[in-house]
Amino acid sequence: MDGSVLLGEQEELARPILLTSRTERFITDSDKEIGVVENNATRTAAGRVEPAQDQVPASDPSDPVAKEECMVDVVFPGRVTKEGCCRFVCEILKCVLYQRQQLPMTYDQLVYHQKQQQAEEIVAWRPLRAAGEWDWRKCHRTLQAVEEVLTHLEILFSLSLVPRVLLMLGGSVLLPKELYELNMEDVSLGTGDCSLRTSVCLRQLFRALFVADILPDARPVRLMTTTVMALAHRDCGVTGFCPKMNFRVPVRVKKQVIRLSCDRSVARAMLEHPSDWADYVWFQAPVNIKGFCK
Amino acid sequence: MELVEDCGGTSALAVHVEVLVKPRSTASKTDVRMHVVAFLDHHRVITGNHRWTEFDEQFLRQNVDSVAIADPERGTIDLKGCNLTVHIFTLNNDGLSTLNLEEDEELSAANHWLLPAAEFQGIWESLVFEDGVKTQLLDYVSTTIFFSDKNVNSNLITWNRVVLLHGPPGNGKTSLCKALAQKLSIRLSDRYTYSQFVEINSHSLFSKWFSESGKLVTKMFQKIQQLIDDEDALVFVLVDEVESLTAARNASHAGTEPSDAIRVVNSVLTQLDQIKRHPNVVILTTSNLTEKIDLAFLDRADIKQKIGPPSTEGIFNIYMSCLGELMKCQIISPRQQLLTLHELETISFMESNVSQMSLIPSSCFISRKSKGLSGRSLRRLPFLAHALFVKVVVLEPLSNNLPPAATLSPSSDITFFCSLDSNCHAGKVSGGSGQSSRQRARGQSKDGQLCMRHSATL
Repeated sequence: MDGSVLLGEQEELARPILLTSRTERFITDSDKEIGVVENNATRTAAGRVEPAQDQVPASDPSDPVAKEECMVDVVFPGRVTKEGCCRFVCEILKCVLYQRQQLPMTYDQLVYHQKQQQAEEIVAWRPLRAAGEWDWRKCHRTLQAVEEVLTHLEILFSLSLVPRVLLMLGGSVLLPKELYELNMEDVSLGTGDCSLRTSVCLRQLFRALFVADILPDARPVRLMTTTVMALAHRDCGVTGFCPKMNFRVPVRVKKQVIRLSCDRSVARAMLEHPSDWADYVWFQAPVNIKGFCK
Repeated sequence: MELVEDCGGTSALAVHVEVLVKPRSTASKTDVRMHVVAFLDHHRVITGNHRWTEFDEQFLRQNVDSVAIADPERGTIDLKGCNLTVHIFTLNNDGLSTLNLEEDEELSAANHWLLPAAEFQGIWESLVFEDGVKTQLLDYVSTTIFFSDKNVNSNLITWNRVVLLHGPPGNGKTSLCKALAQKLSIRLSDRYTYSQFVEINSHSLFSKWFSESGKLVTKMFQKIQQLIDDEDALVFVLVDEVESLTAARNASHAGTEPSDAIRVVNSVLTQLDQIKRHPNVVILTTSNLTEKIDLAFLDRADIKQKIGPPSTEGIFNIYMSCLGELMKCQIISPRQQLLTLHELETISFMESNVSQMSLIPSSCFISRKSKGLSGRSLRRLPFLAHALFVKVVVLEPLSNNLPPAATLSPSSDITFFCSLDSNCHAGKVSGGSGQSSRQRARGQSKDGQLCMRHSATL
């Protein structure tokens, strides 16, 4: 995946601010190629792509299918890159933060707004804080935390294979209020040339997520702290993430699992996975993300 | 220390070895255990309270913070003839999280720690009690677990998992609860994958709505129940100042207590009976006012331990640990060796260059003057002494890590205790006499011998 495409996608995710429905927002960029999934989608008059009524595409019965209430299976029709996996995790983290009302708008929009606001402050020579306005200091703190976690995730992914990532909202590490797991144990990794484009995979992933509706936002949610945990090799030498040797995935909380995998018939992994994950231990992100609202 | 039967039928002493692993270490427990056992093989006879923090081996240097044999009740231990039980643990630096009963409730109903917590480390060692109180409590919890393991019928033999510590304030009841939980979480780490400590804020369970308080108590216990349901977790529940939740119900006969308070007590009692069925919970309670506690609750407490002011030996140990800390932080310099009471006894309290420093707290003047003070007051004395009589502190900027400007010579530290003890009663320093004593102390702090004479005249 080349760098220019990734930059372009950042803007794409930040752009659709005017849409009313949160669900629609992430599928509006599917105006180019989207492969298997797009065949089952219907294009509206406004040029947006609505999800198909039947959730399972005819050509690929396992993509995307929600096996049970809290499980979303996404099968990519080919190999993906290591950087791509990191990207999936980062985008899902941003999406969970927004959908679960920990951020008032998407992360990328917030960053954009914050930059604008800072520019205005410089021109006006005084802080523009008025009644009803945002507390930009809090906003800045939250954004900084998210950015730090994203950076550390990138470093972790560059150092080790990361088969599982947990996003825990609220409560404690043992008993969080909400628990999201990204399982990438069955992902076949490849190099840039012979792998799927990350943007294509991202669209497929988010389509599956919104069709399965695992991130409902109908009920108001209070602000919580988000903790990110990742499974990585014990000797990977990461410095940012902190090892949690005694950590066990909470079992008494309803867990939403997003399982990413690659179609084995199409993609044989270039990098073989270990048969057991015994040498993989949980690492906790060095900062927790505190929710922010206006 | 306990007796266990080994396979040959003879008994061997079981020694607990606590291995604190560095927070950033990713070594597996098996590897750590192997290296620690190999390390201990090189040592034969050690004192009962020994801690290693420096290691020759690369693996231990990288992964282990300290290896400690925490058994102060035995003088020396011959490791060869002992059964070593190695407990490997890492400290949790997460700090406390809060448990809320209502979604929109701002006030938290309980504080929650994941054990072993970094905040609680070292409390156990700092607490000084006589008569083996600490060991008794450890044995009590072991027995509750042992009985549960053996499926003893709780209708025939009753145990309620409730411990009540009572006594005057400032003697370490709450600290003992925290330390006990920490110690057990380390000792039982092979059995329970993690331990939790829940401190209930009693006052948050009283509602402004009539008859709502009892329900809040039930809700609180339901939350705790959620934690207990996980059989891999050992849960400690601390109810500090328990008399606020279990006020004697007969007080309401006089009409001074609303019936809502009675409901709270009833709720606590019934919930305790519910919770005691689970093998992985211990309820620790503390109180200053035992006469105000409901009899039904007192009856449910398996152990009612009085924690009184420290004995002379306790006072010596407290002062000694204070001196050690002041030397460690370079407030008193240069650092000198401190002897334990046992070591002083062996040299029959002879004054020499080595024992001079250690003899200060054990002098009968200080012991006599300090008798009756609470542990908290005793530990405050060095601070007050510095604040009131030294007063030459130049605060460095935060980024600067230079040693503090005001350092005392060891001999002048004698004035810390002498001057304060002459002025304070029950931890309070009176202003008027403090002034004159301060002048005296200033004049004499140049020479330790003078101070000793000063104390003798007092």
